[in-house]
Amino acid sequence: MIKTTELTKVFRTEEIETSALNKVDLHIQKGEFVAIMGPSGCGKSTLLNIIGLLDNPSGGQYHFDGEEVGNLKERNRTLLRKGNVGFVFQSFNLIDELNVYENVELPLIYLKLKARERKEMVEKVLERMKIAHRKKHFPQQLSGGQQQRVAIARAVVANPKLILADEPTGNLDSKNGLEVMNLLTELNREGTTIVMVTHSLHDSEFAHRVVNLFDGQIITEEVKKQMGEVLL
Amino acid sequence: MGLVKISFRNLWKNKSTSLINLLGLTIALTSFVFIFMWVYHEVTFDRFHKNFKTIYMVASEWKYADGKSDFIMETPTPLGPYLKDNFPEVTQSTRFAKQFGGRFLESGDKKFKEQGLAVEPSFFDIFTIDFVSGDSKTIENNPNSIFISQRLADKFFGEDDPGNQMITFFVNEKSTKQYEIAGVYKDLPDNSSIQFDFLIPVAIEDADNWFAFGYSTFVLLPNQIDRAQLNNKIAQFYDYKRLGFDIDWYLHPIKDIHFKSDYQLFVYHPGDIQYVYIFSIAGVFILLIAMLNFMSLIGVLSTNRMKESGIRKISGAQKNKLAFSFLGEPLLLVSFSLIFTFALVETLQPAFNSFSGNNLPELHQNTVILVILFILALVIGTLSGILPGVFIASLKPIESIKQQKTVGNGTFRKYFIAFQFTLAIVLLSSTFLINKQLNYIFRKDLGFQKENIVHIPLKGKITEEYALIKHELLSNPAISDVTNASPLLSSGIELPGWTWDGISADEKHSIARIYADTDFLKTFGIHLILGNNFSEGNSNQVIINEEAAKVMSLKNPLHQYIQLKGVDYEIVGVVNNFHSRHLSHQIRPLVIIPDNNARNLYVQYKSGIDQASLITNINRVYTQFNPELPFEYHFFTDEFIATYRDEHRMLELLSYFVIVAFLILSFGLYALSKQVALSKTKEIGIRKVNGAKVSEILTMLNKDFVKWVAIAIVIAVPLAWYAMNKWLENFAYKTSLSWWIFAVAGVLALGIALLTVSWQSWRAATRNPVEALRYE
Repeated sequence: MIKTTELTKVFRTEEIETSALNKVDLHIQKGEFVAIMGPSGCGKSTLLNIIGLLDNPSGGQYHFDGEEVGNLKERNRTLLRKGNVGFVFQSFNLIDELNVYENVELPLIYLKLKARERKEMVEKVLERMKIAHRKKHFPQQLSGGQQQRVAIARAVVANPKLILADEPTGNLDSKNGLEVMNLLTELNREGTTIVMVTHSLHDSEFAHRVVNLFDGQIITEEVKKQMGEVLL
Repeated sequence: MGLVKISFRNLWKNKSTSLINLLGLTIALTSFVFIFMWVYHEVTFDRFHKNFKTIYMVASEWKYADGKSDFIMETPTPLGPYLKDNFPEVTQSTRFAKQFGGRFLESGDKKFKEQGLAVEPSFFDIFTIDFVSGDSKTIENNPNSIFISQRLADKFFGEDDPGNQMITFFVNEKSTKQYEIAGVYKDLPDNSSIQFDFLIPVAIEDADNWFAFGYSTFVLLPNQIDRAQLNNKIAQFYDYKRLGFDIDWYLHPIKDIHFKSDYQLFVYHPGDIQYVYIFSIAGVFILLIAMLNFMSLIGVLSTNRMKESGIRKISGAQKNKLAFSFLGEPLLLVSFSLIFTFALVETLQPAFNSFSGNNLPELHQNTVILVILFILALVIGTLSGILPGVFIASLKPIESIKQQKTVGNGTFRKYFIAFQFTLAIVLLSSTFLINKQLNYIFRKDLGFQKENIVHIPLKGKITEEYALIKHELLSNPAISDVTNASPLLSSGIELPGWTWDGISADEKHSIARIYADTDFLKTFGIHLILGNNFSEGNSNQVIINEEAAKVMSLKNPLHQYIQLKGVDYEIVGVVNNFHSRHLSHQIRPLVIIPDNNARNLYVQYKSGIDQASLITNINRVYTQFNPELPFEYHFFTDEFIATYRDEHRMLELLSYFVIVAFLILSFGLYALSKQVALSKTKEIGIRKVNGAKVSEILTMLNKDFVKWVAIAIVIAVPLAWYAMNKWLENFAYKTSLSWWIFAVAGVLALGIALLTVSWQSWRAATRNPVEALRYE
């Protein structure tokens, strides 16, 4: 599903040039759950952004679903991303001015679905994330765990093929963190491909495969379990 | 001066916002100063006279049987002394004669046409004239003394001493008189109703004749006289009923003369209070728009200092002191703005003067405006600093440090925007309407042809040779018609006392009259709707206009007779009503009386001919018959446009101020949209991650602004509608208030808002969402 070849990303400011990714070759299969680990500043988030079509690489190739997307214009990246990729962030990134329902509804609005259809889908996913009773609440009125469940609801509401999670448990306590990880595993088991950036060894245990990144390069990859293996 | 330093740093850090703020306020204050210097100039007309509160002009209203009336500024000759002798309230009176159209003065090899007055010695007891040299007393002893203005002295003598120089005064074209310069006085201020560049002693004629109206009379009146009492006393001497109309005498305070523009035969340049209102409103609107901008932008800057003030509070700063520290930025900005305003006004003043046609005193001489300017600046600066200051200082320190609150929540600023746009749209649609009204006047079928006509005022003996001149002119193939008539564009002197068959003996009417020769109708393309033109040499035949026929309610006016002072005139023709007067006046009854001795030549030329050679030709003919007096000509369309000069000037000025208003508004909107985009950085990022396109983000950011501008349109339209209806009431002939005026104003305002806001919205919407979310 995801195939990068010699992917590089360089950030330039007026004075300095930083290489965030250096010839990264990464292959992720459909239905896989991959964790990307590494110290701060190793390029994890940059890689995730490129995989998520939020950013273009500076060099190399990126095939998404068999299609070369490394040089797409923003407009086309947006089109491709819509409905295909869901994002979960460490800081949840909910819109403070919108309530739970409206936050989750957001991707569906941009998919131009009808109100009735949207309602059905949002209700269903809220139900599933066990947050339906909070749908009129605003983000500030929720606990961290609840906020992250809303964020996951939003990421999956349009049934994307790929979910990208950037330290999804980073701001949560262990109980809530575990809950989030269970949710992600469940989604993965239903067929959604998941790429997760994490610092946490514990969280990485949930993945099929762990990719270790250092200074913009992949240094090791370890397979934790086979796809389809049931987590006990 | 720690505060100044911190304030300066904070301003510097937000350079673009500070600059916009400074620029907007400076432009607004500059416009405000110009507008109110002009307004002040208008409303302080004649107040330079030390006695301005007690100077009154004796005036009268002549009320005719048809319900119309004229306001007359001349009085019977004996009235002045009579008032002083019989009313203890009148402490002084004076009479003077205006020198209509100006007189030629000559000294050495220089000769100028100047306006002047022939005055009594008491003139100087009433009016304030500042002498540079000489003494007003001379006038009592020397009947040949003349006082001249500084301006005239400079024109004649330059650096030389004008004292005791001789001046030749042209009483008329035939006779002259010698005067000796007895004094030079300071030029009258521009806002003096009575303007004159020389004063000579008056020799009162017809001193006892209550029916001679040759002089203006002014009195000093510390206590007002009862109007009825005044009328009664004058009536004892004056059987005005005999004239067939009522005269209502009254005393008009000099300070109010400027805005009373309907005196017949006025020589004063009248003001129009409507323009004072319109410009005052424009000035206040511009200031309000800029003030709200300033306040909301200072609010934004203050938010940047929220964290700092939280830390200060934790470190022990007192609430009051903290609140006051927020005065730093606005007061600093306002001070800079004042300096720039001052410089800008002083630089632009000559241009503004020539543009507005006034000679306003300079800003540094105008204490009233200076004081107002300083107070305004202080109020704007203090208010915009203290409000966010008090708010932030009363926050809990932790709230400030975490920056959980914003100064003046978003809605507040949106109210500002709606209010600002309401003001701007009212201004804009009003300007459109004024423009529409002026276009209406210019396109209106006036009932006569004003194109392709040259007007040559006739001077000297030339009228005696009129037949020859006309013959000579008509031999030029470029010229199609020539006529000689009363000045067509003047208000038309109305003669009271007309009677005709079918009205009672004491009912007499006032009818305007034009003297003209037989080619008058042809030259101006005026249509006869009944009867014929008068025939050459028959001075008792007249042509009337439709309005006169209506007033006379004659079934068939042709060959009926109308009488004036016992002379019978036969009506031989009726012409369509034509608008020769300013369209603020209704059509009035008119009689055209045959006469070859009028002093205005109107030459109708063919389209497409060379105007320069035409003028050369006319000049040649004129000089041939009148070599002594200079040739003068005007294109009639120019004269016509000049009649509406005030309106044009005002419109043009107003247009500039409307542009200024929108410019300032855009400044504020730009800065605000930048702020809004900034505060929504995260939201934009999230939306984009979730599939929003650039266009969708643009819509989201602009939607709010559009909504508030739309609300402004809804509020502004009825306001402007009402105001414009009021304004149109000043015109006898007026254009309609079309809906499109408001539609265009609304769309334009919306367009400007969208353009301004989109600049920032576009930048925010096209930013990579990754950057936005990196701020976490």
